[in-house]
Amino acid sequence: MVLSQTLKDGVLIITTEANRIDAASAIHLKDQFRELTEAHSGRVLMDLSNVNFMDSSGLGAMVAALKSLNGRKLELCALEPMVAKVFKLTRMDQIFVIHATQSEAFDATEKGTDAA
Amino acid sequence: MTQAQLNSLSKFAPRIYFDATINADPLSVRDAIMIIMERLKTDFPSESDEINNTEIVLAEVLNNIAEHSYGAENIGDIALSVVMTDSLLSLETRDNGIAMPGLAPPDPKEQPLPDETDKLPEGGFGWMFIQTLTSHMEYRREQNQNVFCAQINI
Repeated sequence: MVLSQTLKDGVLIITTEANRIDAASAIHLKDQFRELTEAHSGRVLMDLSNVNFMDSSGLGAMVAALKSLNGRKLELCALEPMVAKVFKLTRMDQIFVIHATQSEAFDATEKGTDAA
Repeated sequence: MTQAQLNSLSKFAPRIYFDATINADPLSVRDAIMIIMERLKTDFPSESDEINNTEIVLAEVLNNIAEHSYGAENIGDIALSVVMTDSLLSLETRDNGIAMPGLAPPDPKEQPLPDETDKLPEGGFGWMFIQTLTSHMEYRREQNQNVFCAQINI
């Protein structure tokens, strides 16, 4: 299993259970993400705290996941330094909404800073 | 040669971290990377940036071979060696797949990301990572083999 899900205050939290999002797991992430988000129309937050390695194939799968939301945002939280680096080098950190932690992602809504 | 001479030699000699032939599929690539990284991290427990960069470079180089040189057929040999001195990590791969187009690695051009989400690229980041994270890289075709070398300053 690459991903698991929980629903909290209407936000679908998808936790990446795999430690490596690489060429071997990218396709599974893409497919499972699509399955889990299909029936959900609210916010989607992906918790990457378990991921300690991501390569270009993994990043490609993240972009595919974002695209499968058909224009909705994909919020991410808890990026390890190596994962953050991959997003930064490709400037994808400007495309995804990135929060430091899960609770920060929820604070963002409460404070109304999550301008939709 | 005396034991003392041997000891002083080994202190300056390159340390070989990995030298093996692996199959060109994503899981074998992952296994090889994990073995190499475990050895590197034993010597560099502080997790320096350069050691982390090595993991990305290895993944991109090896997966490029699996995907492009061997056409993602999940079969084919990659001979990989990783050697390190106190200041430089050097890796070399040899494979029997097809030659790189133009007999040279692609030169990734930095392009602004498109505004529309559905036009975002899902690939093509690999060579940019290799180029950005290595101090030197070199490719040559040698008797029906692809030979690729890269160096990372440690």
